[in-house]
Amino acid sequence: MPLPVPHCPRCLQQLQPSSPVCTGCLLTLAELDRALGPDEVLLDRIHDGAACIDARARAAIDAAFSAWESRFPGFVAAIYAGSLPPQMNARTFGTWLLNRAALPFAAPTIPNDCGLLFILDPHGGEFAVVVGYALEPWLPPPVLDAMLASVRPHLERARWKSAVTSVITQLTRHLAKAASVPGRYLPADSSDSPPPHLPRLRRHSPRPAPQPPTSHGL
Amino acid sequence: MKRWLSVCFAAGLINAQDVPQSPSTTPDSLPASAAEPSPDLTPEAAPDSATEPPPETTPETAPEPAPAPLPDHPESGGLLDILPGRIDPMALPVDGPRSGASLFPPDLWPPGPPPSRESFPDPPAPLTADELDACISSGDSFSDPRNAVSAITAARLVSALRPTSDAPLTLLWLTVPALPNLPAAWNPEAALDRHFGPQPAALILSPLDSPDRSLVFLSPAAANRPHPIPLADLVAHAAHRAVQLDSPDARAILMAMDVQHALATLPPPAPPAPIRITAAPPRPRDLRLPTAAAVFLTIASTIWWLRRRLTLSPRPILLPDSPAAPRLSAPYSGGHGASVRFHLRRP
Repeated sequence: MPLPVPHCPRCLQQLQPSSPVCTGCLLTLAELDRALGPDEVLLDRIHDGAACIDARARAAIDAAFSAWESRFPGFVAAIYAGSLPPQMNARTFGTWLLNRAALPFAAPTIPNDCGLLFILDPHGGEFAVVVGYALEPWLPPPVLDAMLASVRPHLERARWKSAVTSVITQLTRHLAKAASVPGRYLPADSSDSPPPHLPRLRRHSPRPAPQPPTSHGL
Repeated sequence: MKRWLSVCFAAGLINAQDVPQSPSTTPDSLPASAAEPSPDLTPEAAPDSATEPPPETTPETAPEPAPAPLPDHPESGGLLDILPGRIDPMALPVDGPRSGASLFPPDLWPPGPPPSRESFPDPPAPLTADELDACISSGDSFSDPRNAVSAITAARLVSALRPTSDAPLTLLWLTVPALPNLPAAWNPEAALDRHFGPQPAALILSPLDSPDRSLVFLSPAAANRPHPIPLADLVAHAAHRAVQLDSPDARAILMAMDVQHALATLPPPAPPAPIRITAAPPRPRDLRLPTAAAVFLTIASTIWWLRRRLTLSPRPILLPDSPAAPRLSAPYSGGHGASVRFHLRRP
């Protein structure tokens, strides 16, 4: 199965796989940095800036995230619930946040490209899911659109916990099913070929053996 | 009065001595016509009266009117005046019937000759077991060991009892003059079973004088059939019809023909009714254990499935690294995802 065609998160323009800039709206991460700041921000697992998630829903969402991370080691999930910057949609803000956020709850060996970020704007009425490069091949846009469309009734009734846990459940089912069929979403020989641009440090990856001290100084 | 006295005298309510006698009632004074005894009451006097010449009738005296049954002359007190033409009981001999004597005195009723022995036929000799076994073992449909019927009747009986191909059993007809005393040691069923074996057979012992007292014996094979033949009823019905005839030979022939016809036209046995197997209503006591087991298994399997799905089943799944290339100059995410807009519903 070919890799999903990427789209611009702001103008939904189809992009080339390694295009540095959107040809439709000229979106780049540098432009987002100019609008939101180039510094990293601290993002908790459940960031409730809109104060819309009660304690019970927070516990349920935290349990769902923990279960999902246990099921798929090396991945991390978080949610941002709050108002969005003006003139910016949830996917665009999620793209900047996932690139600039520091995740203190996650292991330091887990990069942000293994992240799954939920963006919830309860007042603006928008709910989005942004994933890193590691999850991108497993989640085609039709699958994500179907998942979010299925939780629209929960969102309209302000049942945030149900919406988030439902999406997590569907993600778990979809990923487990996809992983059981080798070569369904990825080429069979691509599993052990990390992208050359970024060294991966995974929890399950064999760490390189420590090098014995050299005797150059002696 | 005369009529009443005559009735009383005839009934024996009064004695002859009680009747006042008159000189005219003496035998000597009886007129010739009145003293003539009645031939039906005095048989010995009948020849005398028969020998007397009939009164001569002359053309002058012949046609006289017949006397009335009860002449209308005045009562004289004499019995003969009342019953003219009757015998006078007083005219019986002096040494006649006395009190205590027989009603039929020998002089009036002379004893006849004793009956001869030929007039009473000898009772038939009882049938022996060997004769009966011989009749059965011969296999003849008709047997007459005592020659009870004539040769013509025997031939007609043989013709009437000729076995047919569709007969349900082998019929043996044994005709005897009278109902015999069967040997005590003779077992007809055993004899039939010994000779015919599994083939159904029956022996009918029909006395010629009383067909309604016929004896019917069935072999064990015929008696133990799933649908026994009502041969005794058929024989009884045939005998009931046969006793209405007078001739013994005709009775035997009619009875044999009736039995043979009834056997030939016997309706086939009705097929057995289909057995309806109805499921017994389930007893609540029997359903307790399966229900409890089913409920227990359901609950146990549900708990096991939930535990496996919620706690045990999350086996770690290691997804291979993706070959997705970075874009939009972003190091970790190129904005891949989806979004949905919604409007909160007012409660």
